[in-house]
Amino acid sequence: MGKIEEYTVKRDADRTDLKLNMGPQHPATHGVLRLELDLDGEIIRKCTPHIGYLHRGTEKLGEDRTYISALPLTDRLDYIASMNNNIGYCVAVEKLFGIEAPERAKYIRTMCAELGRISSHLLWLATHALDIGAMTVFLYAFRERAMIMEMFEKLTGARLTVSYPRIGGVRNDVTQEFIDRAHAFADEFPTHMEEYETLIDQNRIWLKRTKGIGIITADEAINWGLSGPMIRGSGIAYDIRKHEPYDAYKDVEFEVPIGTEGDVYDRYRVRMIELRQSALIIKQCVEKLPRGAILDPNAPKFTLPPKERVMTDMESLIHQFVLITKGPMTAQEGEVYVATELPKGEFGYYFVSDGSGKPYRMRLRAPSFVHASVLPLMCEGGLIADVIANIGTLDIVLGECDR
Amino acid sequence: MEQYSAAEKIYELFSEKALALGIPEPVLVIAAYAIPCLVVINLIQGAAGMLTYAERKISADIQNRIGANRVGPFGLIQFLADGVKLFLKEDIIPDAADRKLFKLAPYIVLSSTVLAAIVVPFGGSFIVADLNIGLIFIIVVSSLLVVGFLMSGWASNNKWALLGGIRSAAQIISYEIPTALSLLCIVLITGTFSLQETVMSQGLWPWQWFIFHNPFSFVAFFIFFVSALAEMNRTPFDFPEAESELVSGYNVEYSGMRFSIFFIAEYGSIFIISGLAAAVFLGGGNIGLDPYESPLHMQLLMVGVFFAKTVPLCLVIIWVRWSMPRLRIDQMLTMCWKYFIPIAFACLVATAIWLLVFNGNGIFWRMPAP
Amino acid sequence: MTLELREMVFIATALLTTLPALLVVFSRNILYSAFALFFTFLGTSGLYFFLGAEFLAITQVVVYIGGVSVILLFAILLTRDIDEIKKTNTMSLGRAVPGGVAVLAISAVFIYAIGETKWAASGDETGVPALTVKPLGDLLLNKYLFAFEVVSVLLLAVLIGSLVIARRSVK
Repeated sequence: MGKIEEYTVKRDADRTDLKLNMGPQHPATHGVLRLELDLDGEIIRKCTPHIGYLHRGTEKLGEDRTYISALPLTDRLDYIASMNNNIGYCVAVEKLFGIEAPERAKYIRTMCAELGRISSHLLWLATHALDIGAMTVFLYAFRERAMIMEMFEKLTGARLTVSYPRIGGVRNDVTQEFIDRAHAFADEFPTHMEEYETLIDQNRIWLKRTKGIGIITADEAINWGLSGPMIRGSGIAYDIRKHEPYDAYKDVEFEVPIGTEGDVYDRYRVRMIELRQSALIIKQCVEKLPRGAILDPNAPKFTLPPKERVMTDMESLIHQFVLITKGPMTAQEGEVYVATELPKGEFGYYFVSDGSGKPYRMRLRAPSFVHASVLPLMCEGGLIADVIANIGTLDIVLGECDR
Repeated sequence: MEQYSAAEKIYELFSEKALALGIPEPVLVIAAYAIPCLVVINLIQGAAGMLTYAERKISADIQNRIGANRVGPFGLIQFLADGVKLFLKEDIIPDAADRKLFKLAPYIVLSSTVLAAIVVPFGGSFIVADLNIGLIFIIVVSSLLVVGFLMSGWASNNKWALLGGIRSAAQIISYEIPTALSLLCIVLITGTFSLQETVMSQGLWPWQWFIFHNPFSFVAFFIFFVSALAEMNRTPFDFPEAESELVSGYNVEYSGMRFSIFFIAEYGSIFIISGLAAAVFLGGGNIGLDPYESPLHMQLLMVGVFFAKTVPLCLVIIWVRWSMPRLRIDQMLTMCWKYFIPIAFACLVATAIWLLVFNGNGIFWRMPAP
Repeated sequence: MTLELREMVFIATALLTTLPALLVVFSRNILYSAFALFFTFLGTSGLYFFLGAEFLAITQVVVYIGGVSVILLFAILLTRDIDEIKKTNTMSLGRAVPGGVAVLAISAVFIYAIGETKWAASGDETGVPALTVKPLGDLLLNKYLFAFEVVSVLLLAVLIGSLVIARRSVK
């Protein structure tokens, strides 16, 4: 029995607090975040986030893969919004290679990115509400999320890890059915939004749990390097889609919502408005969708030739051999940093190229990583229940945080 | 006044026949006491089982799901399947747990629920014992829960469980006060703690119920109902379990049958609290007849009336759970000490003044002639 | 109802009162003592029930289980100075002697009281007043008001005592 003694709840005579390990297996830490909490009763005296339980070495793996074959790795970063990760990766690689996707591909990507954003925000809403105790919102939000998943399945063959965009365009063209469904979805989505809002938006308990909790001032938000809804909730209208538009964002109209107080409720409102804006963007994309190619004319240098041509055509065989073994060889030496607006925040891809088919260095700027670091600021002095609300409002995905 | 007790009634009914059959008297006495006990325990279990089914179905309806539909027609006997499953599950006791207290705790929790059922008038003469302290009895035995929760929380040797236990203790101790105070408003009107008498002094029609006796008893009903929600650890006050905060609170280390005992107790207390609210505020099983002297079919009708009032209250409790977020522990305590207790006190005093001014009469309700 | 059954129930209740009481004193784990005290209170309340003093019984539960026992448990669970819960209720000469003296004194008083009381014979119901809440309330708020108020100080004492045990050590 001697060994068991070590695990008993011990109270240190000169310490007044209780050390509590929240996670990595905890229903509200959204994956494998671990928080070390020093408690005084239920009040948090100190909060230390520990990350790394989902570390898979994506950055290092990227160095060992050609630009083409590293694409599926990005699916597994923010697995809630894999479409957005893919698109960010392609935009970054395109900039490195100095090519550009055709207009139609850009619109398709924008549309898909916004669908991904809705899907990701819905998952955030579902789990955030669930953590605060409103279980019904969870299933309502998943209903709409399933619609998006089905659309993605129709388009790409996969529901979660889509790997749909390609360097220089997208893999296959959208069907009329997909366009119709996307448009219908964007049309009816605001009515579903009202259903969620009926349950929580003006609910007294919801307001009590979210207003004035986890306040981040505008200065703090900048100093901590926050981005996405986290910084917009604090009242700074920073949105990469507006400031450095990529894909078709310069051609569509949308608003960037900002909060005033920087508390959990403001970030909730910001994301709710973003959901509506995303639906608007989807509608605009469908309406403006131009005709034309879906791959850059230079794209054969980045995409594999069809299987039957590899079997019959010498050129294609060589082409395929080079692409598989060495990767696209036309990159300039140098470095490139491209940030895209992911649902979680600014996701940056930084490549150092030595002219070969593989990046010399691939560095990812993950918003979840930055946001997780702000957790002590928000939690200390609050209660355990506030920690849950704060983790929810961060909207972190540990796959992206740990990379 | 002679107190009514189901055991004695059963004894009177069967003693002659049984003695004629040669059954010794001690056996008969024990049987007379055992029958109501078994009935109550099984009623609580059955009610708890049906409530879990109702919860699953209602939550499914609220959330666009189908819910249990495989076992039996409409999944009606799903709860039996669940029970069998929980029975067969391995009963895990953590190595570092305090084994004795760990085993004891669920029974304290369950016995408090079952004890409370003793004085609930199920309509007609269907009451186990009509104690003349029935109302306080219910409040008091449901406070035994605290000891069970603290015991399970500590014995699990788990920090989450300990926090859950302490939370539940703080919560139940606090909300006992508004619960008791709001019930006292009705005690002032009737002048008795006996639940059967409380039911009998109301009537069949809504204006004869105590909820509409005066404006303050109307307020008292809602205070009672919300505080009872808190005492039962139901959303929006389910802090001791709060699965997203405390994982599962005081019962996190429990498994198998011990775990399900906690849940039988929880759902049983939903039923009892609803029954209490129905009996005290909503006229219970009263259809304007004497419960003891009426023929059997009228008594069964009274039981029907009682259930017709209790079941909707249970459904409201379930409905609330699936539409409300959870409060925070400090907000919940603030609500109790800063709002509920003062309001309940004000109701009590105002009811007393009302009774003085109007000579014991309510808006529609008239004091029976002595 | 037969006498045998009543006696059996009485013996069971009495055992429920006395056995945990022994555990309260002799257990080395203070938490066990506290939980045993809970059962002792429960048994005492059962004895009151047995005597037909239902109001007293239920008051016993309200005050001693709902109040004293729970606050005691609270105090122990929140006490920060406990290192090893298994050795928190140890016996020592310094405690045993004053404790023993107190036990002897109280026993003497009880034995004296039991000897002096004129007990009603079993089955003789004439000397026992029919208990209802109303006369009890009248008595408490008229004749015994002072005693009633003094007793209510007990709860305050419990509250303060638990605060003293659980309060933060002054740095």
